[in-house]
Amino acid sequence: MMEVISPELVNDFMSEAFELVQNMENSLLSLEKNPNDASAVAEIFRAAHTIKGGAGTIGFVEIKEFTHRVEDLLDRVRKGEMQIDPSLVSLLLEAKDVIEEMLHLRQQGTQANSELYEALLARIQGYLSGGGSSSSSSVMVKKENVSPRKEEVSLGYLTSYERSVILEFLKQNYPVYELYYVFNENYEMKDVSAFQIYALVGDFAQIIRLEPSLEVLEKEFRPDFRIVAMTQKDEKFIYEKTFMKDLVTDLRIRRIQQADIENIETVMMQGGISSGESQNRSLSQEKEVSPSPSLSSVSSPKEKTEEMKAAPTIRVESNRIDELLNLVGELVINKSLLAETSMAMMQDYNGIRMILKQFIAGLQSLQLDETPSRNQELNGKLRGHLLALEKSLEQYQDILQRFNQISSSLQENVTGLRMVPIQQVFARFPRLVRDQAQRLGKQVELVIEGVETEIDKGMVDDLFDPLIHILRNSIDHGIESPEVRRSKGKPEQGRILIKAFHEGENVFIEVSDDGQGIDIERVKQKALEKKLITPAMAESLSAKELLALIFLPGFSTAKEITELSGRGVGMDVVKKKIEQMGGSVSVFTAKDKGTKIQVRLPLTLAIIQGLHVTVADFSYILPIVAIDETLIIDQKDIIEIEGDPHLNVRGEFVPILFLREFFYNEKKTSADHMYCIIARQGEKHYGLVVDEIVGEQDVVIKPFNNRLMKSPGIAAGTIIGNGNIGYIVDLAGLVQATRRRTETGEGLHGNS
Amino acid sequence: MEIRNKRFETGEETPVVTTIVMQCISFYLGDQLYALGMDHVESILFARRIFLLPNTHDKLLGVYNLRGEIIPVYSLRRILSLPDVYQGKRIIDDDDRYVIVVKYQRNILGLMVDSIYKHLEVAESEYQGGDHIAKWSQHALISGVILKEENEILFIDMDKVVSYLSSLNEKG
Repeated sequence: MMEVISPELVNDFMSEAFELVQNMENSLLSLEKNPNDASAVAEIFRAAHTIKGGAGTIGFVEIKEFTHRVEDLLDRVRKGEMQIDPSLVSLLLEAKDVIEEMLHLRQQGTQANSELYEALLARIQGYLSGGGSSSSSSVMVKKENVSPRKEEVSLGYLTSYERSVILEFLKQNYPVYELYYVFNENYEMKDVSAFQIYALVGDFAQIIRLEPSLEVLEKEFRPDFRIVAMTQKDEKFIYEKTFMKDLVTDLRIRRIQQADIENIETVMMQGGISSGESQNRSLSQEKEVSPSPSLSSVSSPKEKTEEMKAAPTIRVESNRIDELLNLVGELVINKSLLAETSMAMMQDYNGIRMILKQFIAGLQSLQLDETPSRNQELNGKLRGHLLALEKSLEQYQDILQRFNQISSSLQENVTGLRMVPIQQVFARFPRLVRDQAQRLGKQVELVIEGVETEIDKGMVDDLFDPLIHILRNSIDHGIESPEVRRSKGKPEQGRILIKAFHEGENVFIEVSDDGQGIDIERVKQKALEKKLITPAMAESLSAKELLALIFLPGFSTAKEITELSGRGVGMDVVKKKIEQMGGSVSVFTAKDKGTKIQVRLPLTLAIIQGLHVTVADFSYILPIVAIDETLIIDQKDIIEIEGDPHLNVRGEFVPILFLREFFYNEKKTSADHMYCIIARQGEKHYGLVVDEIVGEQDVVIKPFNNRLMKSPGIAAGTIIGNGNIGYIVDLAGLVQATRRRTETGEGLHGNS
Repeated sequence: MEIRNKRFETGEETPVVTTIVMQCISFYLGDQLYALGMDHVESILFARRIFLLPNTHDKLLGVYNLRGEIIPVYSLRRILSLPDVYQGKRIIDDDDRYVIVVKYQRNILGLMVDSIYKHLEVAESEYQGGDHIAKWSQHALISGVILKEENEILFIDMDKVVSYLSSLNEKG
């Protein structure tokens, strides 16, 4: 069966399913706060339903079956047959975890074994056979005739004739859709809802199938129904045309692919995957119990989701965006080359004009009168050409400027395509904070602001661990226990605020709590215990410098491994990770007021502003953000401190690194007029000696395959003009490698 | 491959069926022919504009701009402990040699070889694999021998090559 399923289909399913489980979790958490939130129930149900359908289509049987049970349970809740209580929410959260795990396993090409979910399944079953089931046992029997078996497979209700009709349409490139409507059960004229929708769809589409059929619909109200229809109209049109707010609470539009149909046939040939499930299925179809009153008050949150759904989006593979970015990168390179050429032309032009002036002045003083008229004529022509050239150059400048603007906004736009809302990182936090707080017996309210702030897609994964660690610190060490808080006169419930926002060329993420703050005295003690500082240093350090000690490697201890982060990362790792992304971390704290950790990140990982320099004829790029100034130094300016070269920059002794020596093992010659670039790394400055400075340039970062290419001091590559490769300098790595070399007293061997 | 290897080890006799089991690209290092599975080969390039990546191990000749993507290029000679002319060279520009671009799992890399021989279709009966072959060839990166047209062609195991290279990278 795997042969008929295209990898794209699986990918689409995966990305959608992961989003859906996340929605599920968010809704569960809001349900926990407000058990009467019917829209949250609907959202969870919808998520489970969609995952079930998708998993069935691509043959992920275990996911389909498990989600199916969850859906049954949710259906009962949706119908008001079951009350939401904390234990049910916890059960559903666990179920969501299992689904997520199953998805992960499938993504890795394996399949969950039944141990993962059996226990949970039994508990769900317990819930199902417990509350609310006795009253509806008679209903179960009545519903058996509604051919529940076929519903097992998505689109499984289609007859072979209908399937052949659909296939014929698809072969001729006519789109066929499955429209799934959920009706508003509180609508006065709900009995005719289906017919109204049927008529609406019939206006613009050729209807192939109604499920259930009109006959069934005539006899009784059904909460939902499906239409399979061919239409040339797009999803948006269908949505706008048929989503009647009074009648319908949900509309799902799915474009049917040839593979879907072929897949049904394969599944059917294998005898279906549904035997023995009809009983459970019928549970979800009981519908004669009237809905609970809590369901009727669905208004404002619903409308919001509708608006979001209406914005048409397309899914594009991310590497296609990267390709686009590559092209823009080349454009940017050419832009800088053009600018350089333009400068050169201007210079030459001015040179010609100056010399011509001198020449003409010379002519007059020499009084060359052999053929004065001829001279004058040539002179006039030359002036004419020069004037024309000047005009062209001006025009060229104008065009270049416009070209600059266009290419900048093109770059901005394409870079923007790589941006995703930071919600993708934040989405899992409420759950993690809730669990951790519960474990520690603390009360924490998590407030998240600025979820729509966009960050580079590449940062999403890398940002999660550091932020989780910061959050964990806030809950573990920041927020006090309810008793302590009460005694301090604070509200028992602590508050953690995560806030994301853009400012200038940066994205800021702030995590602040209203806990006890960081005790600087204790930081000092701990640093002394761990011998990170000497007692003498401890006395001389300012409060700010002491606070910065928490970022030192070895400050956090391994015993701090908690379930939340899964591994014991210290603040040093947080700092390192953020710096790897080109950002920085700072801490602000006040006793009993709280702590604020601020993470600053560049807008994009794809393009950086760099200073293009050369080292042994190779191109190197230094990130502009790290550069303070460029100096020209002579040999005599270099001071040796403990054997290492330093430079006195306005009273600060800055260590100097000779990049030629570092990268190519070429000993420095006692040269004068060396270019020394003063760069910042953390709190310290370093001077980097390079051969030549080419100029500022925007470069597209080409990440290295870390498994195969790793060079200390080089973060990534880039393509300089003419297709040559340049190296982007990783200052932190450079400093680290230099320190290691000095300690071991040797240069690196191998390629240099 | 594994299944085939097992059969050779157990010495099980099967009637010779000349079905094509492997598509290979074959090439020279010196006078010896080698082969790589065609399914990993992306393209073949001239050995041009390979830039040294400083402070790395010597199997890595440098990096190459493959249509905007920067890929590592290795000397297959050095990987197989054969002498190589490029020691200490910073930019390699050599129209007489070739780089086979290989995509293995998610890694894209180049392997520099002396010259390309040709595309081979190898029948089951022409391939001998197994541990004893690997021992005989004295190199763990060779997983079998192709006996074809009176040539002994050593078959290179990309899986082992990639894990060998990434282990070197870890050390470096």
